[in-house]
Amino acid sequence: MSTFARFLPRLLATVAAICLVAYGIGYRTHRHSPVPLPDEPSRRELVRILNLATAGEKPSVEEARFPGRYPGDLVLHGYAKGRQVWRCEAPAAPLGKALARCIAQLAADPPPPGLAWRVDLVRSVLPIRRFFGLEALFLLPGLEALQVSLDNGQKIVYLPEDMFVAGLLDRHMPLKFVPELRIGIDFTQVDRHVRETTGYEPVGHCRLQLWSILLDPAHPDGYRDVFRVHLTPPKLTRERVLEAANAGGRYMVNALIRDPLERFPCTQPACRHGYFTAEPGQFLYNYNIVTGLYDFQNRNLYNLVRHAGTTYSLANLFLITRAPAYADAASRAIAYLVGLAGNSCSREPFRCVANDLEPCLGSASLTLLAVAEYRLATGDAQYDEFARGLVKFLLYMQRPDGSFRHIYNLKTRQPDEKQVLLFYSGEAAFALAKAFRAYGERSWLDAAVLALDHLTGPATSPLPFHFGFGEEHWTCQAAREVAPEVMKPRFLEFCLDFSHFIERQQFTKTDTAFPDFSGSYGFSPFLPPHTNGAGSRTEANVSILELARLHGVSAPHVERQIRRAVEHIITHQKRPGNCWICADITRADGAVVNTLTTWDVRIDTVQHVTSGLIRASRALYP
Amino acid sequence: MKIDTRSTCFIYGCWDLFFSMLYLFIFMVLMPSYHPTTRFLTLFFPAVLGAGGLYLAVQGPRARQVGLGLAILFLTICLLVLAALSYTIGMFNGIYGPLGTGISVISAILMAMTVFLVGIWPVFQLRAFWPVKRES
Repeated sequence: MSTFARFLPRLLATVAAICLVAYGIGYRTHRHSPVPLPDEPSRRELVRILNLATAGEKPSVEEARFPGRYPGDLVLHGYAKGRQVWRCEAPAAPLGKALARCIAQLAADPPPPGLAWRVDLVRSVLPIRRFFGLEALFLLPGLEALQVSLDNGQKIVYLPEDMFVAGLLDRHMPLKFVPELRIGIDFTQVDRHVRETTGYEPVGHCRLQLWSILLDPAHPDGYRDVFRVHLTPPKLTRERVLEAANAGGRYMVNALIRDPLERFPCTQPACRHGYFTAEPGQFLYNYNIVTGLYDFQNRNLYNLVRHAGTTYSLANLFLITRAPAYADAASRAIAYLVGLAGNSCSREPFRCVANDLEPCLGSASLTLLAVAEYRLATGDAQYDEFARGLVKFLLYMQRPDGSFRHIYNLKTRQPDEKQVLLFYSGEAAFALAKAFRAYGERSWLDAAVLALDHLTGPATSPLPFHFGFGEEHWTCQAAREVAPEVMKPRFLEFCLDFSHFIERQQFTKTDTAFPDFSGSYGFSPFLPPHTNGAGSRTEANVSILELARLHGVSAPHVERQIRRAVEHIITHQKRPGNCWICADITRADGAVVNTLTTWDVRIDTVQHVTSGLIRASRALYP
Repeated sequence: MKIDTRSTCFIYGCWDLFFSMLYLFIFMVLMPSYHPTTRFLTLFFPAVLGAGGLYLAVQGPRARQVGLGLAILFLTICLLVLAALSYTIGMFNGIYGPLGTGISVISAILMAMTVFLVGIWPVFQLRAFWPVKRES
């Protein structure tokens, strides 16, 4: 054998060995080795003492009972109206001494009553070193605390709540030319915040792994575990799901603007004097539940498609629950759309809805969907003529092969033959099917089926769709809506395959180290998922499950997806008692955040998750 | 100067020039770096490969040694890149726990691409210029 033939295997073995060693070094140096927590009896005792002390009592502390030595502080912090109003940080080496110090501080500086109390214990500390910009992803957002060392030798700690309140999560812009993409920690921003608040220069950063709890004297253990500044909800039941759906419904009802003079606080430059007013009938579009501020909105900036979707959701809620507030809100929101439609397409043989010169299929489709659902739910015929006009628009925009044009130009009075936008075709199919359901016009059902034939047929011919699916959640809702009149096996096959495909993107409790991702849809543990997807895909999955049942086909993978997603939504819905950093829980009650790290609430996120919940309650608990 | 176009030196010199052009295209057009050190490194080594390839192609006096040296150099670069990728994957695995199928597949693809782009041709070149024992 030549020397090269002997050399080559050794080279390969050396490469493999070096790679394994490099992997091991990277893994070992970045993995926390947390100090064990006190045993369960000691934990209960610790919590018992803290519960008594925060209630105003003066319990005795046997320091020797808690000998554990931890690499950071024990932090006790109290919240009122979303703001931290009391804090004790004491080095937990040993833990008993830190506990005694905080108890003494509570006695010396009594906090106001009625605070929500959080406890964090630092179990592990690891430095964050610069690494080609990737250090922005080194801190687990909302889970780990950030410790900043200052040039005067001091160290300050940003707990997860501190980072939420200061808006320090998901601020890093990895691609300067894509400003919308923000993930991870922007250390420049953090250092600026440190300088402004302390006056000292930051010289180093560390990530801290925590044991995080919320004191809860009513709970059998005396506390509840906190994970990413939220609590794990109790077991799912039909009542809990219904309750959550109604909370979401109330949020949407309360988000409807009724008084044109009512002021809403915001901080953007367009907000004069720090607030804005808006037209009655609009929904408050985007609300940050930590700051308590809204995004500025006016007619030009307002998203009509999402307004219409929210209106549909309210009508659907009324159909299922018969709570009058939903019908009233839906009626007002439809009236706004009718007013906006006004003379938009006055020269055309159809109606449309637009706040500019290019009415789109999406606005018309979801408006029609909302009106048709409202008609079905209430029997109120006042918008029938408007609905028929919208159907004419959809039929006008539909091509003979079943596909749709998506934009109409009011100046040229021609549809745009080229632009194709996400969701619109599926929305149109669903709207036509729902309009048939409300008004009984067979030709509208035929148009919906033609659209579905195209969406499940020729539209899937491009190569990428041989391996995957686009956003087909409206398509599958349409497929359910045309049943039982139309029961094409192809529709069911398409939707079951779609459900299989999206299940691969759904996080489970074991996919990542983050159980709070479970039920949502996403790609990797680096990017906290958007909750909107859990809602819209649940709506689709419920439709798919119902369609499968009509066909007599079992679909367990669909049902388990729905259960996971419902659990995810309820976990992240803000209710009194689980949102101690919400600036105004009465405004935030029922809200579901857009992502787990930036607590904005967009109205369509609440719309989709609420619709998902209410429909899931009927599918999971028939 | 007569160049033997069928000689090992000429063939591998042409391959070296090809890969040099490919790397320069990647790092000047597709993924140019704006960091001074990275920009220098991503242009320096392809330039060295190009110069060495040209020397091989014209069959300079010490062409075999240059060919051997280039192969060893780029095998070393491949090894360092693979080690850096392994370290990065280990790092994120340590921070985030399970990375999921998607990220794992992407990591494997990146490592495979590194091997194909920077690891395969040096092995062939190393084999071609491997010192042969002269029989006394």
